[in-house]
Amino acid sequence: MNYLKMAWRNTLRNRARSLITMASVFLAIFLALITRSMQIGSYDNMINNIVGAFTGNIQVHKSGYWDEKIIDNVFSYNDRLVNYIKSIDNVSAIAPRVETFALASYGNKTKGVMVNGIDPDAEDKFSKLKSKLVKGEYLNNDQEGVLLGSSLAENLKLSVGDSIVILGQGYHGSSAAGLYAVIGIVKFPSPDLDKRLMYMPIKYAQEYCSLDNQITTLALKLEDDKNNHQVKEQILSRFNNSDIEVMDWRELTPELAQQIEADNGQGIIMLAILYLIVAFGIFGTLIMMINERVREFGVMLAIGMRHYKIVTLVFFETLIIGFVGVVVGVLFSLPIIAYFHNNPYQYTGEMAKIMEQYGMEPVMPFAFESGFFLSQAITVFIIIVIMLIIPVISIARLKTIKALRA
Amino acid sequence: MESVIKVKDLYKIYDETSVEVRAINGVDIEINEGEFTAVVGPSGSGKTTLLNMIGGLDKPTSGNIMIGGQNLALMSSSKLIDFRMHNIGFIFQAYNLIPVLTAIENVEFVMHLQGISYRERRARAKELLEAVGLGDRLNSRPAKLSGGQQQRVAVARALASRPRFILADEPTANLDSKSTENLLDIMYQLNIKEKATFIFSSHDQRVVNKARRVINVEDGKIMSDITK
Ligand SMILES: Nc1ncnc2c1ncn2[C@@H]1O[C@H](COP(=O)(O)OP(=O)(O)O)[C@@H](O)[C@H]1O
Ligand SMILES: [Mg+2]
Repeated sequence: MNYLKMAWRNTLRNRARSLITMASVFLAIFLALITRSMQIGSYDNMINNIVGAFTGNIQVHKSGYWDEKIIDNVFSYNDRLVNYIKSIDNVSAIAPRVETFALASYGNKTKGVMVNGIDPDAEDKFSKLKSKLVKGEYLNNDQEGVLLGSSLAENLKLSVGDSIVILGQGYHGSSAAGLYAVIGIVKFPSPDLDKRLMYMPIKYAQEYCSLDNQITTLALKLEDDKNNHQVKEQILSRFNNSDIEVMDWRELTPELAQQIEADNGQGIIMLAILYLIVAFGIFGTLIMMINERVREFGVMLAIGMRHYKIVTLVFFETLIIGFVGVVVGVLFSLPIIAYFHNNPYQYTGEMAKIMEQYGMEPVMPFAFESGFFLSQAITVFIIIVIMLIIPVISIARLKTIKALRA
Repeated sequence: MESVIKVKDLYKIYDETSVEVRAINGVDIEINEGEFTAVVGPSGSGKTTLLNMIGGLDKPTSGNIMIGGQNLALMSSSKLIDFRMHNIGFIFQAYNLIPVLTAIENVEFVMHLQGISYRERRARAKELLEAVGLGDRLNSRPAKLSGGQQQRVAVARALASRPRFILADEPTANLDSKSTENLLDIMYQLNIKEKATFIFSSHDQRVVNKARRVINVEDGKIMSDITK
């Protein structure tokens, strides 16, 4: 007769109470797993979308560019920089850009646009720009021409083959102007981007702004966003802090970062409340279980069972209850999480709007991480251990004679 | 005969705020191996208090209890638990079997604590349960047994670990007269066959009649000590 078997029989002694306690553990684990894999999945999705669509995990600018986005704030795009950044582990793609605001006219229409000078191949690798093409042709480094967002083209009432005039600020106070043929139309999921963006090969953008081999933005994509701090540090350690600034997506899109943070905070509070309820449930069960068995423990002490062995027994009893709850919770949530991992949930309402605004698909694939199942199981285990502290102390303090009289 | 228990100048005084109760008021006893001894006296005379102190469950106010040459007063509480496991068998008035264990598991329990192998303890538990007439109820839980049967399991449990002596505080108080007689017969036989030393308390004359030695207690003092 080992303690585990004895513990198992003790949990069967008051079946209703054990079942209720197991059910509370089950419910907590189940809800925790479902809601957290939902949340973490949606954050991953958002981050991947942001990173994939435009911003990148990290951007490098000339110091001060982000606060004052003028064309004077450019830095030299040279081989030394490129080679160094490409050599950093985790950097999977880079995209150099010249971003500048300009007025675009066609016929009697004029609109404000964001001119993006890009390396067509690098940009396609980075943000799959080519796949957004809905009309005409994609850019080519040696062809002077531009791509327009589809809403922008509509607003200006022009199409592929037409020519567009743009006018803006060039380097060091020079004025910038040019006439470009529209060679393609691209469509962005984000309406905001779609009515502002204009792309041209970087060479012509530099010409337009009177730049040499300089850029405003170098966007970096990482294999894993978790490493973004290290990568930032590595870049900053190599280049002078006063020359360049290195920003991650949290700084580049603070509203999104705040949205995720707030949502994540809510999620964690909900989890904490959930687990607090479970903790009290377990505690109540333990206290009742011990109070009604004081005399039994007294007999055990009398016939030679040491306190720590009784504690072991009670520990196993609690563990069994927790274990059954956790296992059943995992078994029930697993297929649900797996299903929504493969068939993402579609967002509606406010969240969908925010996501579209950032150029993201409004879907939520559930995160499927084995580590999360483990961490929840460990959380329950830790709760059990904490809730056992007081009962264990009360068992350890039991006096045989008093317990026998109970 | 070797003496198993030596009690000297024993006192137990309860300080019930101002009115002190002298539950044991100066007791000397010596108990030898193989005895079948009854401690008798009216309710409140101090039988339970005396047995609890001899069993190392309760601490005396003053005086000495030596068991097999060892002084109980010098033992830490955890040492005392181990000491009880190896040296003392208990039979309680309310049977007090472990409810989730079957009859045979209850009997095995202390042997398990002692670290005796499964085969050995199983064999002894079975033998003892057969000796107390429960060979056919080995796998019954206590709840499925009558009071008399439960108390016979308790007797088997007390003997299982081959203790130096067995303490039984009013073991028949909850039993009908037939079960009482049956239990005492079994205890008597085991006393002979297993050479087990029994000390039991009672205020039932029929129980007292079975004892070979009768210690009479009143107001915490020994009034008479007669060996037949
Ligand atoms: N825990 C205690 N606190 C105070 N007085 C007690 C306690 N236990 C027993 N007594 C008193 O000690 C005396 C002896 O009791 P006890 O040993 O139980 O007698 P018996 O078992 O012979 O009936 C009684 O007067 C009883 O009231
Ligand atoms: Mg009594």
